[in-house]
Parts: sequence; C-alpha cells; structure tokens
Amino acid sequence: MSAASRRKFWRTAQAVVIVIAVAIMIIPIIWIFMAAFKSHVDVYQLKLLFKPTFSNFATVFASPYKLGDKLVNSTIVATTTVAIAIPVATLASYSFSRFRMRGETTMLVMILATQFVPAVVIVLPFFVMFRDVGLLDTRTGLVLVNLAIVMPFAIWMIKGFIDGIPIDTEEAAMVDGSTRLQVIRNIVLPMAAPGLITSGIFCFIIAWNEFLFALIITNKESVTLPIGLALFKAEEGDLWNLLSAAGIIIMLPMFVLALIIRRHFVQGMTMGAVR
Amino acid sequence: MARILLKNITKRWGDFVAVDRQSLDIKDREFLVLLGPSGCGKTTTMRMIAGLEEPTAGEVWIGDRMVNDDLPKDRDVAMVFQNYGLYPHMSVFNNIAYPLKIRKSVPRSRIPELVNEAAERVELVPFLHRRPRELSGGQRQRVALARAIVREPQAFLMDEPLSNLDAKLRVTMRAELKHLSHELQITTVYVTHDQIEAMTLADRIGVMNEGKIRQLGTPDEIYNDPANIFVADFIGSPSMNLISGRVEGHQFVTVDRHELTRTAMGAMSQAVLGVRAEDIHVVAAGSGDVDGQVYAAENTGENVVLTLQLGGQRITCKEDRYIRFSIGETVGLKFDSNKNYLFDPSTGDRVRSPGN
Repeated sequence: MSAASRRKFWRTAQAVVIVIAVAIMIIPIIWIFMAAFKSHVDVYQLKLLFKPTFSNFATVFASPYKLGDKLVNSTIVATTTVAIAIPVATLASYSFSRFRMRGETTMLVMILATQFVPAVVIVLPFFVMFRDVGLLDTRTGLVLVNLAIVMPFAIWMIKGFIDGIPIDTEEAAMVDGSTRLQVIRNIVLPMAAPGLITSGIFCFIIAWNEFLFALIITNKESVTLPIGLALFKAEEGDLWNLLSAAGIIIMLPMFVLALIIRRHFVQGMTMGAVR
Repeated sequence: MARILLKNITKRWGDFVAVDRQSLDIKDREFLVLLGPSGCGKTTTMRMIAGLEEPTAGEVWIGDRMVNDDLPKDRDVAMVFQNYGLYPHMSVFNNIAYPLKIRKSVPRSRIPELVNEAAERVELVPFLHRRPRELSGGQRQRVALARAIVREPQAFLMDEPLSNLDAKLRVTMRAELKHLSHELQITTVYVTHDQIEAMTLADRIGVMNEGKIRQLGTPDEIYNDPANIFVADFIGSPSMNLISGRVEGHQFVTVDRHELTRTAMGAMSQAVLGVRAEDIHVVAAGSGDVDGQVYAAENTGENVVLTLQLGGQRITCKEDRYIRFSIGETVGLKFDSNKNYLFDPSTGDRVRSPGN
C-alpha cells in the first residue's frame, strides 16, 4: 500500500469509528423522537415512514397522567434549588478561596467526601427524618435533598472560577474605595459570571434529572418528571409512545441548557486575567 | 497630600519576620523609593501602608491619623500594582472612573471630565472605550496610573509598576513617571528592586534587607556614602569591589600582602575596602599602586569592564570603551585615595575616621 492510500485507509477507518460512536449515542434518541410521534400500533415497527401524530403529547398532559403537574413540580424544585445553591455556594467559595481559616482544607475535603457516600445508603435516613417532620411528598423536602446533592459540587466548581480571578484586581478595588461586599458585587461576580452560569446550569440538570430521592420521598403531590415516567407502565405493557413523548418533554430543557452552557463554558475557561 | 509615618512596624508570619520593627518618616510630597532584593520586606511595608496587610505590631500614620484599624478604602491612598490589577470586564473609561464612582467624592456629572483629564495626562484618550485585554502592556500600565491619579489621594503607592514592561518601554515609562510626579506633587512610596529606577526617581531611597531599612538617604548619599557593606554591594553596576585585608599606617594591605591605597583610618587589624569600578584606573604595569593580571575584559559598548586577578582576589574596573586588553596581560592599577570606603567585616558597618 502506498503512503497516500494508507493515509486514505486510516482516514476512512477514523470516520467509520466516529460514525459508529455517534450512532450508538444518537439512535436511541432518534428512536424516542420517532416513537413520540407514532401511534400505539406503530411503535413496535421500525418503519421510518409513518403518519406523525401529536396525540401522545395531548394524552400525557391529560388525566390520568397529568404530566403537566409533574412538569411544574420539576421546574419549581430545580429552579428553587439553583436559586438557593448558587448564591450560597458563591459566598462559601469566595470564603474558601480568599480567607485563610482554621481547618479549611479539612472542610473542603469533607464537603467533597459527602459525594462519595452512595445515595442509596442515605435515602432511608432521609425518608425517616422527612416523615417525622412532615416533609415527605413536599417540594420543600425535594429542594432540601437536591441542595444537599448539588451544593458540594457547586462550591468546588465556583471556587475554581474564583481562584482564577487575580487577587490584585480585588485589592485594587479595595484601595480604590470598595468595601468587601462591593468588591464581590462589582468585581468578583461579573468576572466569575460565566462560571456561575455554568455551575447554575449543571446544578439545574442534576436537580432536574434526580431520580432516587424523588422516588422514595414523593408519592403523589410533588412527583417530578423522572418519576412520572413510571406512570406509563400499564397492564398491557409499557406504553412506549407515551413514555417517549414524556421523555422528550424531560430532555428539551436539557438541550436548550446544553446550548447555552457551551457558549459560557468556553468563556468561563478562557476568562482568565489581564496581565 | 500627607506625611506618612511608620512607627516600629513589624510583620510576622509564624516564625518568619518580613518587616522587623521598622520606623520611617516620609515627608509630605516626597518621592520615597524602597529598594531591595526580593523578600526583603519592601512590598510588605507598602502593603501595610495601603491596609492590605495588617501589621503584627507598630503604628501606621497617614497625615495626622493613625490608620492601623482603617480599611484600605478609608486610607485615601491610590495604588499601582505590579500586575496592574485592572478590571477586565470594564472599559478603560470605567476602570479609571471606578474610584470616583465608588467613593462618590465628586458629583456624577464631573466624572467624564476628570476621567478625560487623567487619560490625557497619560495619553490614553483614544483607548477609553477599549477593554484592558485589547491594550498593550504599556497601555495597561497607563490605565493603572490614570486610575490612581484621577482623584487626589493622600499618597501614591507603587509596587514595582514597571517590572512587567520590556526594557525599552521601562525607560520611557520611567521618564513619564518622573515627569508626572513632578507635576502632581503628591507623596509617593515606590517599591522596586531596580536600582536605576530608585536612583532616577527618588527624593530619598530606603535600601532594605531582611526586613529592615539598611540605609535611608538621597540617591547621592546612597551611592557615594554607603553606610554598610550591604548597601555598598547592592548599589552600582558592576557592584563595588569589596577587598579583604587590613590597614597599617594609613595604608590598605590585602590578605595577599598587596599594598593598594592610602586610607583615612590609621590602623585596622581586619578591614574590607570598598572601591567603585569607576574609581580605579588602569595604567602601565609598574607605574600604579599595584600590578594585576587581566582575568576578563568585557566590552559593554559604553565601557570596557575589566576583571583583574590580584593574588586571591578579583577586582573590577571600568575603563574607556576604546581601550583593548588581552587576557593574562599585566597592567598597573591606580586607586583614587579619596574615593574609597572602609568597612568592619564583623559588623558590615562603615568605619569612618574621626573628622571624616
């Protein structure tokens, strides 16, 4: 084989590998997309040409499934989680980044270590505690659980961004006449903004997709979308067309957020200092 | 504008003493340079004046106020940082305007006028709408300067402001700083490890080492009348010749028993003789005070720097740029008997004869 044809061979081989990898990830999503628009009878047939219908979406929002309620629950829980987690985590990260305190490293490691505990292990204590204080099946309870899940993550991520802001810039602002809070508001927050947005979106995704805790501590009133999927198991088997329609409703916000995050993430990475 | 007074300030981190019971009286409108090698405590001293570092002991006075417990914002000083400390998310205009906006010291309507005035002084007017990242190093430096001069602070604090610039730009900016400080007449503390910056800019220089000012004086005093071996060695390029020996009958004799030059002191059993390279002259072998062999000859363009072997010691001298020497050649050395300094090797301090 000549050098040119060998190069061509490898390039083709590369392309094939990439196509296979992409297909493995994309085909299930395509399948779901098609199933969501198929009628019940068409679902099990792999036909590409079918008459699309929106009735699945209408059905999942109607009684008895009422996916709309779950959508509201998910939105409220995820949004509230982010709205609390990001400001609190920002202040915590700022303190970890800028102030020297006793036991700082230990605290940081402990925060991270909470993530090593398998969720199944702590879900039962959570259940018992929530039952005792009346937080079972409430959105407040879910927000609390989600905060416990995302906070360590948010603190570590935001700390990384704040560490990247040169201390000179903050000191300059202090000498220029700012209080510590003004420094945070006028200098740190704008400079860390891409990082805060990225962290916020990651936290939203985690809270939005959270399954295990929601499964155990909710049953009726505050059921979220991922748990709602279980509704579509009927006596006649899994209602794939409805499951798919609900799946798309869960995925759509994630697609939008992924697009936003892509832009900010690059900005966040290249933010850096002016030297 | 104000006098800055440091009373016995000390900064310790654990066992490490960064600044050691240092007192300093900086006069109103004075340009004081703190000069020293890295880690000598000069930046820490300045940061304690700014309020960015809390003294472990001692007092900092700005004007007639003791400011130890004041936040940086309440000390009314302006600082220029080594890395400039610009706000990358703001335009140049807003960078310069920030101290005015945050202090609310002037009515909002006057801000554009003041910013323009400051920008004009440092020739930044065409760049006011740009972001710092779109500027060159020298322009960023000017933004930092403009931000400092836009208001009238009690004092300027400058922490190695030129050290991030390339050599050529540094010389230009140095001259601009000199001009600016002459125009503004505001008390300035300037930290640097560059002796040329110190010599050219300062009204007075404080040469620091190991947390203490080793000598405080005008550039002239520091250069021509060093108080100890550290200052003598640190100032000057090439650094001063420090030759070990003793003094017998007003005559300095090296450890290798070469008689070099007459001295003011009559007798010292142990002494270090300091002579600047430009105060030693090369003459024909046999016709000077002593003969030595050429160890190296370096042509810097403006001079020839000659290193001579004299017994176990080496002596550098500066000669006219047109004179050529070959290595190993024997030449004579003539010392200027008025321009030498004697130090006590045990204390490092200068030894002066009574009446000199």
